Amino acid sequence: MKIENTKAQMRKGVLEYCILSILQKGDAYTSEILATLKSAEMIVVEGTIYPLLTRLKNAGLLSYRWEESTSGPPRKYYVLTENGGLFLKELNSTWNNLVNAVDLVTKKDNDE
Amino acid sequence: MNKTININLGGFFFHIDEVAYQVLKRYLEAIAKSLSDDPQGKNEIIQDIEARISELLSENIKDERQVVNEEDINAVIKIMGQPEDYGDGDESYTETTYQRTSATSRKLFRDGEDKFLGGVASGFAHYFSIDTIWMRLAFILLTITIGFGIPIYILLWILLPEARTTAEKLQMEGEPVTIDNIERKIKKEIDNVSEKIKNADYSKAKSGFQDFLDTLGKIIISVFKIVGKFIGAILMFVAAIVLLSLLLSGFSLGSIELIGISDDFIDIPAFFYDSIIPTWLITILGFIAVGFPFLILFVLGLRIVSSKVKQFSRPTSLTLLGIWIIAILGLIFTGIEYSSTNAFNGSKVAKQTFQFVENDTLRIKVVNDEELNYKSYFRRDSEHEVVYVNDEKRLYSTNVQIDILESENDSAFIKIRRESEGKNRNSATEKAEQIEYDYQVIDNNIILNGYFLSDINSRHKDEKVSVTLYLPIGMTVYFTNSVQSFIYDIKNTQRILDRDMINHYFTMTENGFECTDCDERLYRN
Repeated sequence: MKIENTKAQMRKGVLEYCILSILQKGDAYTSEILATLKSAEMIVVEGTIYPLLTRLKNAGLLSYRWEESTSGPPRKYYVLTENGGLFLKELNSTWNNLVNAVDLVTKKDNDE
Repeated sequence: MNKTININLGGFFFHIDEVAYQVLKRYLEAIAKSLSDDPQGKNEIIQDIEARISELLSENIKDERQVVNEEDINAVIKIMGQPEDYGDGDESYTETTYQRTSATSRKLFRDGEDKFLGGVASGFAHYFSIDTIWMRLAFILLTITIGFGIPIYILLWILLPEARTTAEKLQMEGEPVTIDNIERKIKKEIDNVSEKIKNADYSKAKSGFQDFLDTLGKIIISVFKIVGKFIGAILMFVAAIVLLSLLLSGFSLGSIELIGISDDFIDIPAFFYDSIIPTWLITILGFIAVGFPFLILFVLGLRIVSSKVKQFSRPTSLTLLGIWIIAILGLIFTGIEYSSTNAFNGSKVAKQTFQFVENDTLRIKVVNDEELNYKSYFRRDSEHEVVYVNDEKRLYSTNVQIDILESENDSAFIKIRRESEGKNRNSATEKAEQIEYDYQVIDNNIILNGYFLSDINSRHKDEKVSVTLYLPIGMTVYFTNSVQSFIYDIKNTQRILDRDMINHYFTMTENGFECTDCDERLYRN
C-alpha cells in the first residue's frame, strides 16, 4: 500500500466533478483546464485528463468546438452540455453530502 | 551528429532528431496500448495528446530551424505522465500498475527462453500463471494415459507463435506493455545473458541438446508444411476439375439447345421439362449451387499452397453466400414445383364386351411394335424410350399389367385403365387420356400391346396401363409365352405364381380361376 496511490485515487474520484465545475464557469480549451487543475494540485501529470475528457464527451456531458488560435494549432474548446449541467448539479449535492459525512466521521475520530 | 526527421504532430511541423523520434514514437505507442480497446475514443484521445505535445514543444522551440531532441521529449513526458497514468478512469490505478492483470488479457505464446522441447508447456504455464513443471507433468500424463499428448504437443508447437519481441513476452506473462515494463524486461534479459556467459560450461552442454531439439523441431515443422501444401494442391486440383466439368457440362447443355441436337442420348433431369422456370436459369442455379462450394475449396487450397493469396473480403464472401443461398432456394422451389406436378393421380377406364363361344379357349398374347422400338426387351418395366410416331416425339413405355377376374355376368369383357399424374385431378385425367393403348381380338386370340405411347413431357410421371380381363364361369384361357412379364398377381385357386402360369390352361370355375393342366409341384397350397 503506497500513500501516493491512495492520494491519486482520492483525487481521481473527484476529477470529473472538478472538470465539470471548471467548464460551468465558462468554455475552456484543454490547456486552460489543465492549468487550473495543476495550479490547484488536483493532478500531477497531464496524461490523466485526456481519456477522462473523451469519456465525458462520449457520455454527452461535454461537447466541443474548434477555435483558431494566434499562437498555435486550432484549439479544442470544451462546452458543458445541458445534460452535463444536470449531472453537475447532482454531483454538487453529492459532494456536499460527502464533505459533511467525512467531516462527521473524522471529527468523531478526533474527539476520541 | 544525428539524423533528423520531419514530423507532423497535431498539425504542426517539427524537426526531430532520430533518437528523440524513437522515444516519442514508443511513448505514443505505449499510450495507445494502455488505453481501453474502444478504437473510436482511442484515436480521439491520441489526437488530443498529440495536439498537446505539439503545443508543449512549440513553447520550447522558438526558432523553426531548431531541432527537437531527446531532452525536449523527456521533458514533455514528465509533464504528460507515464503511459500507465493514462489508464481509463474506470479502472483503478493500482490494478494496472502493481497487480498482475487477469488471465484474460494474456496471450498464449511459446516461451522460447524456458523450454524443454518447444516451450509449449511453459507458454501455457505463463497463461494460467502456474509453475511450468505442472504443465509438463500434465503433457506427460496425457501421453501416458490417453496417448494424445505427443500429437497435441506437436500441433501446439506448430500453431503457437513464439514470443519473440519484448512486447510479446510481456503479453505472455500478462503484464501491461509499458515503457517501464519493457525496459525492466530488457534489463532482465541482459542479466540472464551475462549470467549464462558466467556459467558457460553448463549452458554449452545444454545448448548442444537444445540445438538438436530445435533442428528436430524445424524438420518436423517443415515436413508438416510440405504435407499441408500437398493437401492444398490436392484440394485445388479436385476443385478445379469439378469446376471445369461443371462449366463444360453447362456449356454443352446450352449448346445442345442452340444447335438443336436431339436429346435422345442424354437423360436430362426431370424438371428441365415440366418446370415453369426456364431451362437456362435452372442450369445457372445448379452451377452456382454446386460450383460455389468448390470455388471456396479452390481458394482454400490456393491459400494453403501460397500464403500470398488473400482471403475473400467480408462483403465479397457475404455476397457469394447470398447468391449461393438464392440458388439453393431456387432449386428447392423448382423441386417443390416439380413434385407438385405429380401430386395427383388420374385415370381413364374403357370397357369392351366380347362374344365368344363358351367352349372356346382364349389365347392371350402380348405384342410389341418393332417398327417403333426394335430394341424393346419385351418385358414390363418402368423405363421409357423416346420414339417418333409420324415425326412426333412420343414416350414409349412398357408398364402394362394384365390381370384376370371373374365376370359378374355371362359375357366376357375387358377393362383398360390408363393412369397418369398431374398438378391436379383434371390435368392428371387429361394426361391419362393422352395415353395411347391398343389391343385386338382376332378369332379366339386376344392380342394385347406390350407398350403404350404417351406425351413426351410425361417422362417423369408414373404412368401405367392396367388390362383386366373379366371371364364368365366356364371359360378357359391359355397364356402364351409373350405374356410372361406382363401378367401381374393373378389370383388362382392353386396359388400358382405368375411366372409358372404361362403355357398353361386356366378355367374360371365356381371356386375361382383354376389351372387344368398344371403339375402339382407348382401348387403352393
